[in-house]
Amino acid sequence: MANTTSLGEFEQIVLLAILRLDENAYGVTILGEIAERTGRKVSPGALYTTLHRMEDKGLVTSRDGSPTRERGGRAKRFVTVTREGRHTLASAQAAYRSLMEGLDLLNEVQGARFAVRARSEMRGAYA
Amino acid sequence: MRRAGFAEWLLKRAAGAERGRAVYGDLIEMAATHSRLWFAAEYLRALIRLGWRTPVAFTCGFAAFQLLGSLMGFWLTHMPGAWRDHLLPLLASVGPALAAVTVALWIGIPFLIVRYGARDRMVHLALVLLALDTAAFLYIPWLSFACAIAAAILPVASLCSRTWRKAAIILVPVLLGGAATFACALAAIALMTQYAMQHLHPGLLIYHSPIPGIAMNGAVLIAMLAIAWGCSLMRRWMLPTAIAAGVPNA
Repeated sequence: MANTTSLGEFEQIVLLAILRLDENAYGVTILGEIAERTGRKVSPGALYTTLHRMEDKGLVTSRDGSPTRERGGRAKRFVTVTREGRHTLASAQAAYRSLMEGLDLLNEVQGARFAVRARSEMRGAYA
Repeated sequence: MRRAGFAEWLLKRAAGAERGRAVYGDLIEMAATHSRLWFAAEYLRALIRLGWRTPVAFTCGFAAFQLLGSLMGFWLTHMPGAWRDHLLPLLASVGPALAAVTVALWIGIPFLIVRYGARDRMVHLALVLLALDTAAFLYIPWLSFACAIAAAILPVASLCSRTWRKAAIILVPVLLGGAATFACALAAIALMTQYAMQHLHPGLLIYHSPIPGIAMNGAVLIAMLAIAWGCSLMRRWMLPTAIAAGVPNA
Protein backbone atom coordinates (compact mmCIF):
# COMPACT_ATOMS: atom_id res chain seq x y z
CA MET A 1 0.00 0.00 0.00
CA ALA A 2 1.32 3.44 -0.90
CA ASN A 3 2.15 5.63 2.07
CA THR A 4 -0.02 8.73 1.78
CA THR A 5 1.12 10.58 4.95
CA SER A 6 2.75 13.77 3.69
CA LEU A 7 5.66 15.33 5.54
CA GLY A 8 6.53 19.02 5.70
CA GLU A 9 10.13 20.21 5.46
CA PHE A 10 10.44 20.83 9.21
CA GLU A 11 8.97 17.43 10.02
CA GLN A 12 11.63 15.81 7.84
CA ILE A 13 14.37 17.81 9.56
CA VAL A 14 13.10 16.73 12.99
CA LEU A 15 12.84 13.07 11.96
CA LEU A 16 16.38 13.12 10.54
CA ALA A 17 17.71 14.75 13.72
CA ILE A 18 16.01 12.07 15.84
CA LEU A 19 17.50 9.32 13.69
CA ARG A 20 20.97 10.88 13.94
CA LEU A 21 20.72 11.12 17.74
CA ASP A 22 19.48 7.54 18.00
CA GLU A 23 19.00 6.67 21.70
CA ASN A 24 19.66 10.20 23.00
CA ALA A 25 16.90 12.09 21.16
CA TYR A 26 14.88 14.40 23.43
CA GLY A 27 13.82 18.05 23.18
CA VAL A 28 17.14 19.68 24.11
CA THR A 29 19.38 17.42 22.02
CA ILE A 30 17.06 17.58 18.99
CA LEU A 31 17.14 21.40 19.08
CA GLY A 32 20.95 21.26 19.39
CA GLU A 33 21.32 18.83 16.49
CA ILE A 34 19.09 20.93 14.22
CA ALA A 35 21.00 24.11 15.12
CA GLU A 36 24.36 22.42 14.53
CA ARG A 37 23.50 20.74 11.23
CA THR A 38 21.24 23.32 9.58
CA GLY A 39 22.20 26.57 11.31
CA ARG A 40 18.52 27.12 12.19
CA LYS A 41 17.56 28.39 15.61
CA VAL A 42 14.28 26.63 16.26
CA SER A 43 12.05 27.71 19.14
CA PRO A 44 11.24 24.91 21.61
CA GLY A 45 7.49 25.54 21.15
CA ALA A 46 7.73 24.87 17.40
CA LEU A 47 9.65 21.65 18.01
CA TYR A 48 7.20 20.33 20.61
CA THR A 49 4.18 21.09 18.41
CA THR A 50 5.77 19.14 15.56
CA LEU A 51 6.87 16.28 17.82
CA HIS A 52 3.39 15.93 19.36
CA ARG A 53 1.73 16.05 15.94
CA MET A 54 4.07 13.37 14.61
CA GLU A 55 3.44 11.27 17.72
CA ASP A 56 -0.32 11.58 17.12
CA LYS A 57 0.25 10.45 13.52
CA GLY A 58 2.28 7.47 14.73
CA LEU A 59 5.50 8.63 13.08
CA VAL A 60 7.42 8.84 16.36
CA THR A 61 6.93 7.30 19.74
CA SER A 62 8.22 8.45 23.12
CA ARG A 63 9.25 7.00 26.46
CA ASP A 64 10.20 8.63 29.75
CA GLY A 65 13.79 8.42 30.99
CA SER A 66 14.83 8.75 34.61
CA PRO A 67 14.45 12.11 36.41
CA THR A 68 17.56 14.32 36.55
CA ARG A 69 18.63 17.14 38.89
CA GLU A 70 19.34 19.76 36.20
CA ARG A 71 15.71 19.40 35.07
CA GLY A 72 14.32 19.95 38.56
CA GLY A 73 13.66 16.24 39.01
CA ARG A 74 11.71 15.89 35.76
CA ALA A 75 12.29 12.99 33.40
CA LYS A 76 13.57 13.39 29.85
CA ARG A 77 11.11 12.25 27.20
CA PHE A 78 13.11 10.28 24.64
CA VAL A 79 11.74 10.10 21.13
CA THR A 80 12.15 7.27 18.63
CA VAL A 81 11.12 7.11 14.98
CA THR A 82 8.64 4.31 14.33
CA ARG A 83 8.74 1.98 11.34
CA GLU A 84 5.95 4.04 9.75
CA GLY A 85 7.95 7.22 10.39
CA ARG A 86 11.07 5.79 8.73
CA HIS A 87 9.04 4.61 5.75
CA THR A 88 7.30 7.99 5.35
CA LEU A 89 10.60 9.86 5.64
CA ALA A 90 12.28 7.56 3.11
CA SER A 91 9.38 8.10 0.67
CA ALA A 92 9.62 11.89 1.07
CA GLN A 93 13.40 11.86 0.59
CA ALA A 94 13.09 9.58 -2.45
CA ALA A 95 10.63 12.03 -3.98
CA TYR A 96 13.06 14.92 -3.38
CA ARG A 97 15.93 12.90 -4.87
CA SER A 98 13.86 12.02 -7.92
CA LEU A 99 13.01 15.69 -8.49
CA MET A 100 16.65 16.73 -7.97
CA GLU A 101 17.99 14.27 -10.54
CA GLY A 102 19.80 16.00 -13.39
CA LEU A 103 19.57 19.46 -11.82
CA ASP A 104 23.10 19.45 -10.32
CA LEU A 105 21.92 21.82 -7.58
CA LEU A 106 23.96 20.21 -4.81
CA ASN A 107 27.21 20.69 -6.76
CA GLU A 108 26.28 24.33 -7.39
CA VAL A 109 25.72 24.89 -3.66
CA GLN A 110 28.95 23.09 -2.77
CA GLY A 111 30.81 25.09 -5.43
CA ALA A 112 29.44 28.36 -4.09
CA ARG A 113 30.39 27.37 -0.54
CA PHE A 114 33.91 26.44 -1.72
CA ALA A 115 34.28 29.78 -3.51
CA VAL A 116 33.18 31.74 -0.43
CA ARG A 117 35.57 29.75 1.77
CA ALA A 118 38.47 30.21 -0.69
CA ARG A 119 37.80 33.95 -0.92
CA SER A 120 37.78 34.36 2.87
CA GLU A 121 40.98 32.28 3.18
CA MET A 122 42.73 34.44 0.56
CA ARG A 123 41.61 37.58 2.37
CA GLY A 124 43.01 36.14 5.59
CA ALA A 125 46.31 35.33 3.91
CA TYR A 126 46.76 38.86 2.54
CA ALA A 127 45.69 40.58 5.75
CA MET B 1 8.48 27.78 43.72
CA ARG B 2 4.72 28.20 43.79
CA ARG B 3 4.94 30.23 40.55
CA ALA B 4 6.98 27.45 38.90
CA GLY B 5 4.38 24.92 40.05
CA PHE B 6 1.57 26.94 38.50
CA ALA B 7 3.53 27.42 35.25
CA GLU B 8 4.12 23.68 34.97
CA TRP B 9 0.47 22.95 35.83
CA LEU B 10 -0.65 25.29 33.05
CA LEU B 11 1.68 23.62 30.54
CA LYS B 12 0.35 20.21 31.57
CA ARG B 13 -3.21 21.41 30.92
CA ALA B 14 -2.17 22.61 27.46
CA ALA B 15 -0.05 19.65 26.36
CA GLY B 16 -1.13 16.76 28.57
CA ALA B 17 0.46 15.70 31.87
CA GLU B 18 3.44 13.67 30.59
CA ARG B 19 4.24 15.93 27.64
CA GLY B 20 3.83 19.09 29.72
CA ARG B 21 6.22 17.82 32.41
CA ALA B 22 8.84 16.89 29.79
CA VAL B 23 8.52 20.24 27.98
CA TYR B 24 8.91 22.13 31.26
CA GLY B 25 11.92 19.98 32.15
CA ASP B 26 13.53 20.73 28.76
CA LEU B 27 12.95 24.47 29.23
CA ILE B 28 14.53 24.33 32.70
CA GLU B 29 17.52 22.41 31.33
CA MET B 30 17.99 24.97 28.53
CA ALA B 31 17.48 27.91 30.91
CA ALA B 32 20.86 27.09 32.54
CA THR B 33 22.57 28.59 29.46
CA HIS B 34 20.05 31.37 28.79
CA SER B 35 18.60 34.41 30.56
CA ARG B 36 15.40 34.51 32.63
CA LEU B 37 13.78 36.60 29.92
CA TRP B 38 14.54 33.88 27.36
CA PHE B 39 12.94 31.29 29.64
CA ALA B 40 9.81 33.41 30.15
CA ALA B 41 9.49 34.13 26.41
CA GLU B 42 10.02 30.52 25.34
CA TYR B 43 7.66 29.26 28.04
CA LEU B 44 4.92 31.58 26.78
CA ARG B 45 5.55 30.63 23.14
CA ALA B 46 5.42 26.92 24.01
CA LEU B 47 2.25 27.42 26.07
CA ILE B 48 0.47 29.25 23.25
CA ARG B 49 1.64 26.88 20.50
CA LEU B 50 0.67 23.80 22.48
CA GLY B 51 -2.54 25.13 23.98
CA TRP B 52 -4.33 27.26 21.40
CA ARG B 53 -6.06 24.45 19.57
CA THR B 54 -8.37 23.17 22.31
CA PRO B 55 -10.10 26.48 23.24
CA VAL B 56 -10.36 27.46 19.56
CA ALA B 57 -11.73 24.00 18.71
CA PHE B 58 -14.41 24.31 21.42
CA THR B 59 -15.34 27.82 20.28
CA CYS B 60 -15.62 26.68 16.64
CA GLY B 61 -17.75 23.71 17.69
CA PHE B 62 -20.14 26.01 19.56
CA ALA B 63 -20.27 28.50 16.68
CA ALA B 64 -21.00 25.70 14.17
CA PHE B 65 -23.77 24.37 16.38
CA GLN B 66 -25.39 27.80 16.72
CA LEU B 67 -25.12 28.57 12.99
CA LEU B 68 -26.21 25.19 11.60
CA GLY B 69 -28.83 24.77 14.33
CA SER B 70 -30.49 28.08 13.53
CA LEU B 71 -30.35 27.37 9.76
CA MET B 72 -31.87 23.95 10.33
CA GLY B 73 -34.53 25.38 12.63
CA PHE B 74 -35.45 27.92 9.95
CA TRP B 75 -35.65 25.17 7.31
CA LEU B 76 -37.77 22.85 9.44
CA THR B 77 -40.31 25.60 10.18
CA HIS B 78 -40.46 26.81 6.57
CA MET B 79 -40.31 23.51 4.66
CA PRO B 80 -43.36 22.53 2.53
CA GLY B 81 -46.05 20.97 4.72
CA ALA B 82 -46.55 18.07 2.31
CA TRP B 83 -42.91 17.00 2.73
CA ARG B 84 -43.26 17.11 6.51
CA ASP B 85 -46.44 15.03 6.42
CA HIS B 86 -44.81 12.57 4.05
CA LEU B 87 -41.84 12.10 6.34
CA LEU B 88 -43.68 12.22 9.65
CA PRO B 89 -43.21 8.49 10.32
CA LEU B 90 -39.47 8.84 9.67
CA LEU B 91 -39.30 11.88 11.95
CA ALA B 92 -41.10 10.02 14.71
CA SER B 93 -39.02 6.85 14.44
CA VAL B 94 -35.41 7.81 13.70
CA GLY B 95 -35.75 11.59 14.13
CA PRO B 96 -34.25 11.90 17.65
CA ALA B 97 -31.35 9.53 16.87
CA LEU B 98 -30.67 11.30 13.56
CA ALA B 99 -30.78 14.67 15.33
CA ALA B 100 -28.32 13.50 18.00
CA VAL B 101 -25.86 12.12 15.40
CA THR B 102 -26.19 15.26 13.28
CA VAL B 103 -25.51 17.50 16.28
CA ALA B 104 -22.50 15.33 17.19
CA LEU B 105 -21.19 15.86 13.64
CA TRP B 106 -21.89 19.60 13.69
CA ILE B 107 -19.98 20.13 16.90
CA GLY B 108 -17.41 17.42 16.24
CA ILE B 109 -16.17 18.43 12.79
CA PRO B 110 -14.95 21.97 13.55
CA PHE B 111 -13.32 20.46 16.63
CA LEU B 112 -11.63 17.70 14.60
CA ILE B 113 -10.44 20.14 11.91
CA VAL B 114 -8.87 22.52 14.43
CA ARG B 115 -7.47 19.75 16.60
CA TYR B 116 -6.13 17.35 13.95
CA GLY B 117 -5.92 19.47 10.77
CA ALA B 118 -7.86 19.44 7.51
CA ARG B 119 -5.48 16.87 5.95
CA ASP B 120 -6.40 14.17 8.46
CA ARG B 121 -8.17 11.17 6.93
CA MET B 122 -10.60 10.97 9.87
CA VAL B 123 -11.63 14.58 9.16
CA HIS B 124 -12.26 13.73 5.48
CA LEU B 125 -14.48 10.81 6.46
CA ALA B 126 -16.31 12.96 9.01
CA LEU B 127 -16.94 15.68 6.38
CA VAL B 128 -18.56 13.19 3.99
CA LEU B 129 -20.68 11.84 6.85
CA LEU B 130 -21.65 15.39 7.80
CA ALA B 131 -22.83 16.16 4.25
CA LEU B 132 -24.86 12.92 4.03
CA ASP B 133 -26.28 13.21 7.53
CA THR B 134 -27.25 16.86 7.20
CA ALA B 135 -28.90 16.12 3.84
CA ALA B 136 -30.84 13.28 5.51
CA PHE B 137 -31.83 15.67 8.31
CA LEU B 138 -33.35 18.10 5.78
CA TYR B 139 -36.29 15.66 5.38
CA ILE B 140 -36.56 16.11 1.61
CA PRO B 141 -38.40 13.06 0.19
CA TRP B 142 -36.12 10.52 -1.52
CA LEU B 143 -32.99 12.61 -1.01
CA SER B 144 -33.23 12.12 2.75
CA PHE B 145 -33.77 8.37 2.36
CA ALA B 146 -30.90 8.02 -0.10
CA CYS B 147 -28.54 10.08 2.07
CA ALA B 148 -29.54 8.23 5.26
CA ILE B 149 -28.83 4.88 3.58
CA ALA B 150 -25.50 6.18 2.19
CA ALA B 151 -24.59 7.54 5.66
CA ALA B 152 -25.27 4.12 7.16
CA ILE B 153 -23.30 2.28 4.45
CA LEU B 154 -20.28 4.61 4.49
CA PRO B 155 -18.85 3.58 7.92
CA VAL B 156 -19.29 -0.11 7.04
CA ALA B 157 -17.57 0.40 3.68
CA SER B 158 -14.77 2.35 5.40
CA LEU B 159 -14.23 -0.50 7.86
CA CYS B 160 -13.78 -2.85 4.90
CA SER B 161 -11.21 -0.57 3.24
CA ARG B 162 -7.57 -0.79 4.32
CA THR B 163 -7.05 2.91 3.68
CA TRP B 164 -10.04 4.14 5.65
CA ARG B 165 -10.37 1.45 8.35
CA LYS B 166 -8.29 3.21 11.00
CA ALA B 167 -10.19 6.49 10.54
CA ALA B 168 -13.54 4.67 10.74
CA ILE B 169 -12.55 2.67 13.85
CA ILE B 170 -11.84 5.96 15.65
CA LEU B 171 -14.61 8.10 14.18
CA VAL B 172 -17.65 5.83 14.42
CA PRO B 173 -17.51 5.04 18.17
CA VAL B 174 -16.51 8.64 18.96
CA LEU B 175 -19.48 10.04 17.00
CA LEU B 176 -21.95 7.52 18.41
CA GLY B 177 -20.60 8.17 21.91
CA GLY B 178 -20.87 11.93 21.32
CA ALA B 179 -24.46 11.55 20.08
CA ALA B 180 -25.43 9.34 23.05
CA THR B 181 -23.77 11.76 25.48
CA PHE B 182 -25.60 14.69 23.89
CA ALA B 183 -28.97 12.92 24.10
CA CYS B 184 -28.42 11.79 27.72
CA ALA B 185 -27.08 15.18 28.82
CA LEU B 186 -29.98 16.98 27.16
CA ALA B 187 -32.54 14.66 28.78
CA ALA B 188 -30.87 14.96 32.20
CA ILE B 189 -30.56 18.76 32.01
CA ALA B 190 -34.15 19.05 30.74
CA LEU B 191 -35.43 16.94 33.65
CA MET B 192 -33.44 18.99 36.14
CA THR B 193 -34.67 22.20 34.51
CA GLN B 194 -38.27 21.02 34.67
CA TYR B 195 -37.87 20.10 38.33
CA ALA B 196 -36.28 23.47 39.11
CA MET B 197 -38.98 25.35 37.21
CA GLN B 198 -41.75 23.55 39.07
CA HIS B 199 -40.24 24.26 42.45
CA LEU B 200 -38.56 27.64 41.98
CA HIS B 201 -40.81 29.44 39.46
CA PRO B 202 -44.12 27.53 39.35
CA GLY B 203 -45.93 30.26 37.42
CA LEU B 204 -43.33 30.78 34.70
CA LEU B 205 -43.64 28.92 31.41
CA ILE B 206 -40.47 27.02 30.53
CA TYR B 207 -40.41 28.58 27.03
CA HIS B 208 -40.13 32.08 28.52
CA SER B 209 -37.11 31.11 30.53
CA PRO B 210 -33.47 31.19 29.38
CA ILE B 211 -32.95 27.80 31.00
CA PRO B 212 -33.76 25.63 27.92
CA GLY B 213 -31.11 27.50 25.93
CA ILE B 214 -28.64 27.01 28.75
CA ALA B 215 -29.62 23.33 28.89
CA MET B 216 -29.00 22.91 25.16
CA ASN B 217 -25.61 24.65 25.37
CA GLY B 218 -24.75 22.59 28.45
CA ALA B 219 -25.54 19.38 26.58
CA VAL B 220 -23.42 20.56 23.63
CA LEU B 221 -20.51 21.33 25.94
CA ILE B 222 -20.74 17.91 27.61
CA ALA B 223 -20.96 16.18 24.21
CA MET B 224 -17.93 18.13 22.96
CA LEU B 225 -15.95 17.10 26.03
CA ALA B 226 -16.94 13.48 25.37
CA ILE B 227 -15.91 13.75 21.69
CA ALA B 228 -12.57 15.39 22.59
CA TRP B 229 -11.80 12.81 25.27
CA GLY B 230 -12.96 9.86 23.15
CA CYS B 231 -11.01 11.02 20.11
CA SER B 232 -7.79 11.52 22.02
CA LEU B 233 -8.20 8.15 23.76
CA MET B 234 -9.02 6.24 20.57
CA ARG B 235 -6.19 7.83 18.58
CA ARG B 236 -3.69 7.00 21.31
CA TRP B 237 -5.03 3.45 21.42
CA MET B 238 -4.71 3.10 17.65
CA LEU B 239 -1.11 4.34 17.49
CA PRO B 240 1.52 1.83 16.36
CA THR B 241 3.43 0.75 19.46
CA ALA B 242 6.83 0.03 17.96
CA ILE B 243 8.69 0.39 21.23
CA ALA B 244 6.24 -1.76 23.16
CA ALA B 245 6.65 -4.39 20.46
CA GLY B 246 10.42 -4.23 20.95
CA VAL B 247 11.30 -2.72 17.57
CA PRO B 248 12.62 0.79 18.31
CA ASN B 249 13.99 2.53 15.21
CA ALA B 250 13.18 -0.57 13.20
